[in-house]
Amino acid sequence: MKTGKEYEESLRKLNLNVYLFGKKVANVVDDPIIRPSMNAVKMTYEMAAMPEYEDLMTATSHITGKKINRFTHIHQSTTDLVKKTKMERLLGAQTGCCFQRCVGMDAMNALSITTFNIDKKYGTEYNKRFLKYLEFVQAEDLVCDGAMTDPKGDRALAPSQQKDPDMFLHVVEERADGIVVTGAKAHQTGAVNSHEIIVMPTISMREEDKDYAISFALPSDAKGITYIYGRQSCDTRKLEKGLLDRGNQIFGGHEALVVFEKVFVPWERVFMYKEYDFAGELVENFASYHRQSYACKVGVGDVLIGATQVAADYNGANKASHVKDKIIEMNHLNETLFCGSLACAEEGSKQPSGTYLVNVLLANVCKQNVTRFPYEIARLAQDIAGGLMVTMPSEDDLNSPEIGHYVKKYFQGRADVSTENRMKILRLIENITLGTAAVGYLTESMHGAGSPQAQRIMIARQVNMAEKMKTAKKLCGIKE
Amino acid sequence: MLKIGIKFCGGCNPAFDRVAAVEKIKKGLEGKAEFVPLNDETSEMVIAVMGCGNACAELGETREKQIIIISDIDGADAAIEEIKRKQKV
Repeated sequence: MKTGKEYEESLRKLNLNVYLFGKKVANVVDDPIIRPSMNAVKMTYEMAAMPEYEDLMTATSHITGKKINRFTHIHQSTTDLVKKTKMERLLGAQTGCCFQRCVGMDAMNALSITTFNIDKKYGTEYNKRFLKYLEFVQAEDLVCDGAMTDPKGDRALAPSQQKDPDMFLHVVEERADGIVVTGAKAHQTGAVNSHEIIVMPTISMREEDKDYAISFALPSDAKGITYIYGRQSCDTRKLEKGLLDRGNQIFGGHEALVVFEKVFVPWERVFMYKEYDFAGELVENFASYHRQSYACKVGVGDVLIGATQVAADYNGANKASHVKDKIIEMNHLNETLFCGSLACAEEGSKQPSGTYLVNVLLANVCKQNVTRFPYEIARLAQDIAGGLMVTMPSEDDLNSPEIGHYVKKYFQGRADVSTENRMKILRLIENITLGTAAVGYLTESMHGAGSPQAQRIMIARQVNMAEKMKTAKKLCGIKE
Repeated sequence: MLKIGIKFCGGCNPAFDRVAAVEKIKKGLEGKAEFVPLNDETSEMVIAVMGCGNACAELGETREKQIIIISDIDGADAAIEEIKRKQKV
């Protein structure tokens, strides 16, 4: 396994084509806007080497029998699935943000199932290719971006019906040694901190869309790939010299638009090629794993609840009964999210490939709650924090020789707590509920791994309604 | 001197400070036990530090050894006493 330092050094060797604020980024790793997100991914390496975390952070490869980072593992039991949930909560709590590495793990687990199933039907060799690729990822301890979401253009039209054919990533040329693809993947979490990109289709497809039914993996710096870095609320605070106004002084997340302009993919890296009838399965399995992965928000919730309790303490409001009750409600909601992720893991099942898949119904219920509860937790945090969270002056004002004494005097809460500490904890709550980390904690909770309606469709499809109706009729004596 | 390995659970939502508990045990057994890496084959005993009652850490690799499990902060004191008692016997 790589150390955190080795991970950082490995990123420096990549030649990524990244654009931020309209300019090409010369040094991605050290760019002040990007750096906190790299710090968060780096934690997935550092904690894997710490005895107090390694039981969750590492696993044993089912291919080589070697100790590997759990983010490169294919789940071999429900215990593995449960450990995944726990690892995600742990990392969310340690970073207070999106640590970006779960999406690649979820892509690899979904591909381990679907490549096997395609081979069984068509006699192809995708699973063999995939396992060889997986062994490479495990041996090198790589970060993989799981790239699913196409820009999608007109939502009423299928991929092949779009006015611009590039609205969904597709094959533009087939060669003896591989394929050439064009298109883009949007909202790519952790893309510029990744060594590899694993591309998957974004929706179920029909025969006329078969050029879009492709899956493959490429090095993140492959020729023809461009990254356009996503803005976040309050992002330029990271360019200021002080740390206080950032809220989270160390970590952050990121997303990017990843553009593929006539990119070559060798056959040995292709895991689905025009088998359109398996596109839906791959999407559903990936989405189910990724909906489980939102246990990370429980960890971020841990940080937000902790910060809210500290703010209440600093305000001298911690003994008020309504404050206590609101914090109970925050915990209730947060632990309910944990329940959902644990439940879908515990109820997981073995697939023909040998991989364990989460319970699809429960994973969708889990994520449906994630689209709602963090917003309520954030609302309660803002309620308890008070308006100062969004009206207080800057760190520069706090330290100003002319007016700093006013800031210290008038924003003092409890006499034994410094104004600076009070400002720090309020900035952290601001960061998570409406600053850079709100991208991950709120809007990503809404739309990541599928928007709310996607889960409702899956819930409707997964529940055994006939059995429920049968039971109801039996109990009230209906005979038909 | 008694050689002891430490096995932690992963610490997803620990009810107490697991690392502080181990430091307490090390201090309490100073001069009486040597703490070695978990994979040290010469260790006779393993203290498994579980962050909650679920006690989910995998103990397969420690099967051959005597195991003391602690899953709350009071367990640290109990472990110290138990090890001291065993050493007297």
